[in-house]
Amino acid sequence: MRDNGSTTVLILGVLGFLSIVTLSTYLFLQYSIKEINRNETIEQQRSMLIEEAEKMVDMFLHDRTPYADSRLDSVWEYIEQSKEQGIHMSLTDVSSCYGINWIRKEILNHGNLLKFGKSSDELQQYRWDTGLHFTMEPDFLDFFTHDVLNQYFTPYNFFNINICDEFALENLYFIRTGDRDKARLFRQKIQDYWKGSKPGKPRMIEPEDLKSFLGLDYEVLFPLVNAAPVINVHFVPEDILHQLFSYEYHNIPQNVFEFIVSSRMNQEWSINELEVIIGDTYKKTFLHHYIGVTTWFWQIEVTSSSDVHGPLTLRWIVVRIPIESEKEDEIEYRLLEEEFLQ
Amino acid sequence: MSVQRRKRCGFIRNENGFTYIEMMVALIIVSLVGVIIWQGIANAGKLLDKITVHSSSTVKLMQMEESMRRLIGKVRYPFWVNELEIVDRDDEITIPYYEGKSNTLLVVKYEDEHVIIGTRYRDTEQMDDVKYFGPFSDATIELARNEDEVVIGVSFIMYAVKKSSDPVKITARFGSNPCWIVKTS
Repeated sequence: MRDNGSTTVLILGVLGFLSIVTLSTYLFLQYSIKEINRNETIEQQRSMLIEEAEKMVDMFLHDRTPYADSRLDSVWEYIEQSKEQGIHMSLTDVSSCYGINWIRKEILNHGNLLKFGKSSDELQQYRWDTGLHFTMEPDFLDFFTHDVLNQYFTPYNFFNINICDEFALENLYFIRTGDRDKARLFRQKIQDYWKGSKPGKPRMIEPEDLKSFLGLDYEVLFPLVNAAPVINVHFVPEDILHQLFSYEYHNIPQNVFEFIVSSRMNQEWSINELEVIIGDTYKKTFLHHYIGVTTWFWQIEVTSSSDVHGPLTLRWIVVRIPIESEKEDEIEYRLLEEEFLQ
Repeated sequence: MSVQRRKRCGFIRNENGFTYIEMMVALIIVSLVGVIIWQGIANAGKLLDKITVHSSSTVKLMQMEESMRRLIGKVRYPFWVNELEIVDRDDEITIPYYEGKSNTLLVVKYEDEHVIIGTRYRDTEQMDDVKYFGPFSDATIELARNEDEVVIGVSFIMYAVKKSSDPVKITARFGSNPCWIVKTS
């Protein structure tokens, strides 16, 4: 018998095996715990981002001037303050551009926006053949450059019956009802109505006339088809405003354009004030169907950073639901899109 | 030397070997200690196994949830549509507007102990980009609705292969929803 103790190769082997098993289990558990913690942190961050986005929508709802959206609204102040708390927020008016699905040929030609060799008739035919598009790229890259698409157009826009291409309205009618024949009749009804127009004196359907004009179709088309101005003068890109002002039937003086562009960051105008600034032409032409003071589609982005998972961004698209002209309903926003970007 | 060892060991060594009783007592003690050690190791092993399986399935579930949410989030309804056109039959749901395209359908079903998510075009039966999640002993797939009963996504209720654990429910939202749906006759 040895006094110094004894061991065998077998015992050493068993101990070595147990050590390896223990070590690998420990490493695996450590990885699992890390993953679980990471996931919990992300979930907490997601909830926090949603809360922040909801606060912004809540501020829209409690705006002191609910029918006008501008840089003077309290939500912009809130965005500035949040930067100090390490949360980055951004708010973008995504509807104050031309609607890619409905822009009319004459406005398109006036702005000279199409790619060389492409005509507005070809675009109209393409839209007629392929229906309404929710994505601009690559769908419209044959007709516009990437820069023009992103600078001038948006898929997020309601369909003002006065300024939409009538074939786009026919497509929309078909999507909403599934009835191609009735959709064709609807387009012809609009074309017939416009036939009564004279140069410089267009026939227009005002919000208070919309219900009687649409008749039974009103229920299925409103609020997507409406007679509210689609673009907010406070946020519209300068080029679009300039194109609309300089269009031959509008012909708004350059000094009016310059006044609006230079002062809109510090001013909030109501529709009546905008009419005074632009003059009689505003109500007498389609201009008041293009340009107003309300934003319909907002993009909200909230980003937070963490050592555990890096920056996490919540992207929301919210829509303000147009209200019927004779009703004083509460203002309503709906969440259209939600996406987390990591 | 032998005197020193005797002192250290504390008993007198029997030069004639062990008696039967000594052997029996020694064997009983060794057996008892062995059984206790064996039980300890076995229990520790079971516990370790349980923790490993639990954390492993938790991590797997988290990854599964992330994938399911990402796939269902790619269903993007344009805000102008008036009908979701979802076909919901038995354990299979077909949803159009995958990546915003009306002709691309997302197919979600439970088959052979797996939740299967894939895409296909409207006019074909062939599924592409098929992802398998599982195995599960059972799973229920249903449409998720908001407080106004409007469909906003898909819910998965999955039962683990070991029935003892509770079912896991994952709700995944569509990436975008229609703005205004009017029920037409």
